[in-house]
Amino acid sequence: MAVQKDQPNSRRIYLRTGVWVMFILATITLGEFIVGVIAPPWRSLLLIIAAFKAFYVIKDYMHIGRLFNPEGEGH
Amino acid sequence: MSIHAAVESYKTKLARNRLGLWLFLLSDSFFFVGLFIVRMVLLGAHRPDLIQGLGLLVTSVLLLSSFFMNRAEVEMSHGNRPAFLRNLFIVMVLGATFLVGVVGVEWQLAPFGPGDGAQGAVFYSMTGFHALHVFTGLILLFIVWNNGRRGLYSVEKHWGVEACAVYWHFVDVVWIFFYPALYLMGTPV
Repeated sequence: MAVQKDQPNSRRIYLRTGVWVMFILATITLGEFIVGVIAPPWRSLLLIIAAFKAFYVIKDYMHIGRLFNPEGEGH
Repeated sequence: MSIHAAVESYKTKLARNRLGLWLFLLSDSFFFVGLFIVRMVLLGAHRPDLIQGLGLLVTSVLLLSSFFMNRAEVEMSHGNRPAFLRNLFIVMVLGATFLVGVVGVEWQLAPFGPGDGAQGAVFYSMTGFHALHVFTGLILLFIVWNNGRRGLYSVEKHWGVEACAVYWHFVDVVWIFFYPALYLMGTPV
């Protein structure tokens, strides 16, 4: 998400993104649990689900984009 | 040194710090990938005989801690120190709860020990090495919280907070893969 820190609403946008990602993670984790309980042999599906969750954490919580765009968000 | 030069110098240093941290995490992840592969090879279509509900609970706690870690970082980057400290404290509590849940409860309830075959070796090495990272993360969190309490971070300069957040989220990402591998994939041994 290319949001500059000096924008007036950036705090709210970042916090809202955090809530949205948490909602996605919670929903997927619950789905993952159900898949694991009812269909444990589906290892590939569970791996894909895990990769999907990791993608969101790395992108929106770890902000991997800062590595490639240092001007975007500076501390 | 002019202000412009100082800012540029700080930006360069920050970019190097970020690269260094990510390279460290990349190297650290090789060990976790190795553990994951060991689990897949040794246990295959089976999983350790564990309580799935407890696994879901500790996973939820760790995911929630990542959420509050993100909030703490956002608050610090916008100069809201009280909210930053509050959120960071919640992260520490949740992190400690996760640690107690895995090491204090799951390890005690598991119907096998570290020496009981492949499932024991896999389970205790995966959760043990991950718990060690959670523990070091908690130490880091406390240091950052204490620094924040003393007012050592500002809107412009809070690399320590960012580094701590990235490390904590990395620990979360590792568990995102370990959780299905230990609790969900396959039938109990």
